[in-house]
Amino acid sequence: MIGVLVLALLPTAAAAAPITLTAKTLAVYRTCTLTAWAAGSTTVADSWVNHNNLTQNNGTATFMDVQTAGATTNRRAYIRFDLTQCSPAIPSSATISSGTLRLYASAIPGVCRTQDIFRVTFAWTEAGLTWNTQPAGWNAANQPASGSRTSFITVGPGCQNTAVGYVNGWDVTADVSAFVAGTATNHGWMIRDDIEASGTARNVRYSSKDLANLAQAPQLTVTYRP
Amino acid sequence: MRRWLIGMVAAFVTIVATIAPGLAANLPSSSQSLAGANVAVASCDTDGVTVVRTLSGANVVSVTISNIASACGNGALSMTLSNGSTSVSATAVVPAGGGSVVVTPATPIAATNAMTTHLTIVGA
Repeated sequence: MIGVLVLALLPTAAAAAPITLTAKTLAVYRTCTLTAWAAGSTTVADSWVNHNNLTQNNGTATFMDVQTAGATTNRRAYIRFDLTQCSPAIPSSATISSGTLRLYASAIPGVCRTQDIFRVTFAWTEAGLTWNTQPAGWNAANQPASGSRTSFITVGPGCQNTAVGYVNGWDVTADVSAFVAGTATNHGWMIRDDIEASGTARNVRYSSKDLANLAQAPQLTVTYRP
Repeated sequence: MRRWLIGMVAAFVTIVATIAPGLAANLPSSSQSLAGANVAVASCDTDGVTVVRTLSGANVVSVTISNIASACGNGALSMTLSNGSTSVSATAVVPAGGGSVVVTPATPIAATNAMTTHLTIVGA
């Protein structure tokens, strides 16, 4: 009797159950959003320089002006984010999918203006930056050349950003990739009008971290695959 | 009686000897239906997504994730927001054609200088 039972069990053990695997696509991203709305924060450094006051420092200003006007009355914004504040840290081998800088425009010009962003190639501090501390190649109108910009947005009637609020951000993916990979030093970015010294004053005013308003704070959003 | 007992012992020994090989291996040596392999899992989105936080006061109340590729349509999106000291999670279903989706955690989380968003989309 038992012998019959054993013989009945053996074929059962030998039969392998079929295994079915269904492949699914999988997208995994990590995003680090850096922002600051306190004057003392080291996560963000921001300031602006005044072509009409060559030694003026605006590191504690509550706004950043980007302006085209006369030959020597232009204004530029500078901003830098400390990418090491991201937790977990962005690996140097990460693939950067996107890097977007968003600023809050509290005043926009009466006509559409193009705002260029450049990767800064020199060290600067909030407390020390002035028009004159910009090095050669940066301290004259329309320098550096528009062709070397990282990207641009447009602000004003009939263009990309038509109202007060956060602008659709600058694409800084290439620069962030270089910062993370270590192939470029992170000195942040400079934003200027695409055509400085245009003759008529056109101004975009952006909120700085010193405004102490989270709802208008500068933001850098980095999306990457670890 | 003695013959019967000897017969029973012999039968038991035979049974044990028969069972033992059956338990020794989970699969018979003649099986040819099992294989192992590494298969690369494709990503339904390759150019990144856009993440924008919506604030209420000093808290993040929702996150809009846009620029999701159509290949991720109907996929299950999982999100975890972490501000370094605490984290919240939420899920959503990606629209059929991709695009954007708003993910709302059950409880808001304080915005801080650095906030990490972990996103996973499992394609349908």
